[in-house]
Parts: sequence; C-alpha cells; structure tokens
Amino acid sequence: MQTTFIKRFIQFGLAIIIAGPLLLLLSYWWTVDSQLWQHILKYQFLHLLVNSFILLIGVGVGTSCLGIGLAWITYRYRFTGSKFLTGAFILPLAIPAYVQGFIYLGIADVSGPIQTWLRTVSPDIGYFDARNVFGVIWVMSWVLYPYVYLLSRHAFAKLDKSQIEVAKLAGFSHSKIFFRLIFPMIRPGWLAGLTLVWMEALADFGTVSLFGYDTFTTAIYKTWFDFYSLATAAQLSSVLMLIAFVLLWWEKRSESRILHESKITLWEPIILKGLAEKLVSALSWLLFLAALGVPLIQLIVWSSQTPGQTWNQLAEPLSNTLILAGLSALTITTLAYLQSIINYRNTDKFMESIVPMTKLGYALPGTVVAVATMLWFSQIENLIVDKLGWDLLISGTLAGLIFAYLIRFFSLASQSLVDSFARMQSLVNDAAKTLGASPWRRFRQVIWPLTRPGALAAILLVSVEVIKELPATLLLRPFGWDTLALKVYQWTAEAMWIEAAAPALILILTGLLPLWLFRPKEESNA
Amino acid sequence: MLDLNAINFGYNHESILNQVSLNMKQGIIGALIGPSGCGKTTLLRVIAGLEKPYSGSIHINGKQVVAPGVYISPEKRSVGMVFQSYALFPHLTVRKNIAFPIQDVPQKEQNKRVDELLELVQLQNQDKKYPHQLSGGQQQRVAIARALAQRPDILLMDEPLSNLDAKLRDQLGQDLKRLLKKLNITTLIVTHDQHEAWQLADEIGVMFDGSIQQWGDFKDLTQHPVSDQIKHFVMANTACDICGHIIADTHSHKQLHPTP
Repeated sequence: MQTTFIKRFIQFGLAIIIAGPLLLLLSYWWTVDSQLWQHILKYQFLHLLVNSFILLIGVGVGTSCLGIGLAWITYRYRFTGSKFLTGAFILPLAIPAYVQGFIYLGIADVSGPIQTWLRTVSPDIGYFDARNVFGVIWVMSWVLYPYVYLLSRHAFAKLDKSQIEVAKLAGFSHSKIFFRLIFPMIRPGWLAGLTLVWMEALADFGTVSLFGYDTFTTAIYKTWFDFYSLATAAQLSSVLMLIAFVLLWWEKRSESRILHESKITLWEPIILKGLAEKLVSALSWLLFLAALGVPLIQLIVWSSQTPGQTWNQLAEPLSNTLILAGLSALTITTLAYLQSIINYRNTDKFMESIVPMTKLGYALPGTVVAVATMLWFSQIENLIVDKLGWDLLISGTLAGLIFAYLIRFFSLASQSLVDSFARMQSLVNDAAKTLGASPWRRFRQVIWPLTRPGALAAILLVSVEVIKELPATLLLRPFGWDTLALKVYQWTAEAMWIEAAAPALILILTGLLPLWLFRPKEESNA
Repeated sequence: MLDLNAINFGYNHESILNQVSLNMKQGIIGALIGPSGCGKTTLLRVIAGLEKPYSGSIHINGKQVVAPGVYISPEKRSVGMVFQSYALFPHLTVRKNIAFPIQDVPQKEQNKRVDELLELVQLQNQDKKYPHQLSGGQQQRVAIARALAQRPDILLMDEPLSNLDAKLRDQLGQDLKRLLKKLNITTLIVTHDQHEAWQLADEIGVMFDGSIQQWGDFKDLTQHPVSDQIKHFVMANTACDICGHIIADTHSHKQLHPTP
C-alpha cells in the first residue's frame, strides 16, 4: 500500500513538474494585450504562418531527397567506403543548424570566397545577399536530413527478400517494385523522420535569426525582449506549442504504423564493380564532404586564424558549458531513472496514464519551454512572497535553466532508459527474487548492471543536447553567464565568423562522439 | 505437371544442385526432405525462376521454361510460390495482399478473383484486416491465396508449416492437404520435417548434398530404400507412434500399415 503511494507520488510529481508549466502557458489567454495583438495580427501573424509553411515545405523536400536517397544507396549497394559512410551519414546531425548557417554565410555572402571570385571573373556581377529563404532551407536540409536517413534506412532494413521476390514472380519491373512496393512499405519510417525534421525546423531559433527570417521563435523572442510583454510571448508560444503537438501526434501515428517483423531474410545488397562503382562511390563521398567535410574544414581554417585573445575569452564559457551540461545530465538522468524503475513492472493504470505527460517537452521548441518556465517560476515566486514573505528567486538562476532543460530533455533520457529496461525483462528480476536476493542486492547486482549502458547513454545524449542548446539558454541564463553556444550566437550576430569558429568547432566535436557510438551499421546475414 | 531434367546450379563455382531430375504428374503433391543445406530450397527457387541453373531443363505443364538457350522469366512460368515467412505485405489488407500480383487486371475481374480466392481459403470475412491481425494459420492461407491469384499451373511451398504453433500443425496440415487436393494443383513442398512430409505428400524425394537420392511414395522409401543413408534417415523418424497415427490417418486409402 505504502510503496504504491510513494510510487504514485513520484510519478505524479514528475508529471506536474514537466507538464505544469506547459498547461500554465495555455492559461495566459485571459489577459490579452489588445494593442500589441492588433499590431501582431496586422503585420506579423500571417507573415509568420506563411514563412513557417514555406520553411517546412522546403526543408521537407530537401531532407527527403537527401535522406531517402542516401538511405537507399547505402542499403542497396556496396562500394568503396560504404561501410564507413553508412554510419557517417548521420554525423551532420552534430552540427547545430546555426553553426552550419554561419559557415554558409561566411562562404556564400558578399565578402565570402564565392562572390569574391565571381567579381574577379566579371566585376559587374556578384553582389547578392545570401541571407534569403533559399539559404535557410539549404542550411537546415543539410543538418536535418539524418533524421529521414536514419528512419527510412531502418525501414529499408526491415524489407524481406521474399516480399521483393513476390513482386518479381508477379512480373514487376525494377521501378514498379520501388514505387509500388518498397516506397509504400518505408513510408511510415519516412514520415516519422520527416516529422522530427519539421519539429526541429519549427523549433530553430539560431539559424532563422541569423538569416533574418521571421518565424514564431524569433517573434516570441522579440515580443518578450523588445515589447516586454511576457503574456503575449506566452500566447504566441501556445500557438507554436499547438503546431508542435499536432506534429507530435502525427509522428506517433506514423510510428505506430511501423511494423516489427521479427524474422526476415536479408535482401542481399549489390556489390558494385567498374564504372558504376566509381560513380556511386564518388557521388556518396561528394555528398558526405558537402555535409560534414566542408563545414569542418572551414571551421578549422577559421580557428587557425583565431587570435589568442579570443581563445582566452573562451575559457570561462567552456567551463560554464561543462558545469551546466554535467549538472543537467545528472539531474535529468537520475529523475528519468527513478521513473523507469517505477514503471518497468508497472501494472497500475493510473500511473500508465500520466507517463506520456512527462514526455511532451521534446516536441517543444526551446523558446516555448523558456517562456513556460519563466511564467511558472514567476507564479511560484509571487505565491511564496505573498504567503510566506520569503524573497525567493529561481528564475534567472542556474536552477531555473536546468529546470527548463528537464522539461525539454526528460523524454530523451527516459527513451534511452526504456530500451535498456525493456531488454532486461522482468524475468531476470523474478529469477533473482526466487533465488532469495534482497531488493537492494537485486538492484545492485541485477538491475543496475543491466541498465547501466542505458543510463550512460542518457547522460551522454542529454549533455550533448544541453551543450548545443541555444534559445532556452539565451532566454533564461543568469545575467552575464555565457556558454559556448551563446558565444557562437553573439559573435555570428556581428558577422565575426573567425571568432565564432573555435567554440563552434568544440560544439561539433563533442556532438560527433555519441553519434558515432550510435551510428547505423551495414546489414549482414550473420 | 512438373518435369526436371539434370539441373545443375551453384554459386561461385560451389556446386549446390547436382544433376537433379524429377517428374510429377498433374495433381500430385510432392515433398522434398533432407538435412538443412542439402539444396532443397534452392531447387524450389530454380523452378520458380528466381535462380538460373547452369544446365538442365525444366518443363511446366509441358511448356519448356528452362533448356539450353531458353530461359523464361519467373512471371511467365505460371508458378505460384509460398515463402517460408509468407512474405505478406504488412501495410496492405488481406484483400490487397491477394490482389497484389494481379494489379493490372481490370478492377471488376480483380475483385471477382479475390472473392473466389477468399472463399477458397475460407477468409471471406477477414478481407479488410491487416496481416498482423491474423493468426499464423490465417496468414498462411492468405499467402496461398496470393500465390494462386495468377492461376499458376504449379504451386511451390517452402516450409509451409514451420512458422505455425506445434499444436496446430497437424490440424492445419490436414486442412492444407484437403485444399490442395480440391484444387487438384501440382504442388512441390520443401520441408525439413518428415512428419510433415508424410502427412502432406503423395510422393517424397530425399535430398542429400544437392541431389535427389530417391523419389517415391511412402512404401518405396520405407520398404525399398536405395541406400543405407536413406534407410537411416527415414527410419530415424518413422518408428515413432505419433508418426504411425498420422500415416494411418492420411494414407488409409492406400491401406498401408504403419510400421510398428
């Protein structure tokens, strides 16, 4: 009885902590600043919607072409380097979109090498602004395509050779087999990847503000910091939250249609030879170079020009970033672990029903989470001042920031734990129980060793996300507290590419590690 | 009718099928048994046209499909194949799975044929379901119906019962045999399970190392095995009581006495 109560209390507490601020956000519709809203509706709202829509369509097309194309090539063909590239094609995910964005501007803008060269060829041409919608779509497609790549590749790998042979026996041509059979079968995977892309694109703040492209995230920032209207920022946030939830629902729906066939026969890949091998290999390496090689080389070149003084300025942001990442990763993983251990053998319907509430944050943009956290704490602070007379300040402290990360990244941590708890299966625990092990001994000798990889993965994934997180950090940081991501943001806002290169390089290199560990591998029959 | 003459096949100079010949008359159910790796599934794939033999000839209902200088592509062979995993399309309903090979047939005719097939395999009311909503036996019947959609002259089945619950195997095996007899379709079944072979087939081929060592009915194999290898292989499994019952059930019309 008592343990059930404690379990429910913890479970319910987590749900309140994570979903509470988001619900509070919705309640802010009762005070509408009509003047500001008139302005927004007249000049901005439609503009924001259209801009977001164009962005989603463009990025959707870009990531689908790259993602499905590369997934098909690495699934179907074997060529020089195909083993490496299969895993390496997800690495561009380590590049924050705002970093890819400033590299693009550094190369393609008026003073960049491309336009400079064009002017030497013919002095009349070569003054165009690279900060346009095409640039935003281009940049985001190159960093977000791995979501589509990963999930459609996963779907390809589930194809059964016999299914293809059924089509061959029915006399289908190669193109008919692809479009009438294979594509419909990988569609759920593709759509699940695409929704992740869309969530990221909607959530992006750094790139769109760098390119001066107005979307909801930049509008929320402006309403808060230029118009000082937190309530209106909350209202705009709730619109964005609504769109994100529609996407989340859509993603769950696509995911539920991904079927898990247990026993499949591998469809042997084609080992390319001769000219075909050279062409496919060259194309793949070229795309890899464009996605990861060029940005890395450009950053290294810039970093080598970075003055020593700038490096000195990075010491403090670097230690801040590490402290922040470490603290948040440990806090979030500990809480997620607690939840998983309560849940993995749970049969309580009440608890099951509130678990999804703790996973809402990941679909939400950092900007929205920041606004919600701000409101939540200002309400709590007011309450405490009113009732108890204590002067407590949480917003604007590290605790407030870590709280926002908790909302945002809790589901990331709990997802990597769920997998390792599921793999353990309750049987192991039952077996230990029948052998007479005490609960503590069961935990220490059975549960923890089996779930430790999941916990370590959670810590790793959360720290990497925290390290590159920009909008929530920007909005909620303690005054004067800089992180690497913020340094990149500040320097790129002033077009100081060379200064921004060094912290950006550190961000990418830390991000590459977990991606390489969790990279997809070539299928084999073994 | 199925006629194979001296089929040779291999991958990368490694011989897998070696001078395989067999002959089955119209309406006969044949089974290929043998240890795993003996080439029985490969032989099925060669007959279907999914693999191309080095040499030899194949006739299906008198039509030459493989011969020196002749190679007819799978879809023109009039062969239906049921895969071990059934290879149903998880994203399509039962109806659409069955209609898959006849997509280019006019809609009206297509519906009529699917209805007939659904009735044949007794899944009339399940046509809107998806494969994962069906039991193993029902999935198998969908796979059979789909293989029959193009009205093939022969049916090939790879381990038809191996995916099923052991308790159901006997019952479903009997159902399968009844269905095939009703269709009077020449069928070649590959199995590693002798009980299954005795239960389903009229004639059995025992394969070792890429060639059929003996082809015959139950009596031939048990009473006149051509080699000690076959004798051991066959005897190892027929001495049991359960087997005796199955044989008594399914071969009663031949008035065979089960081996004690």
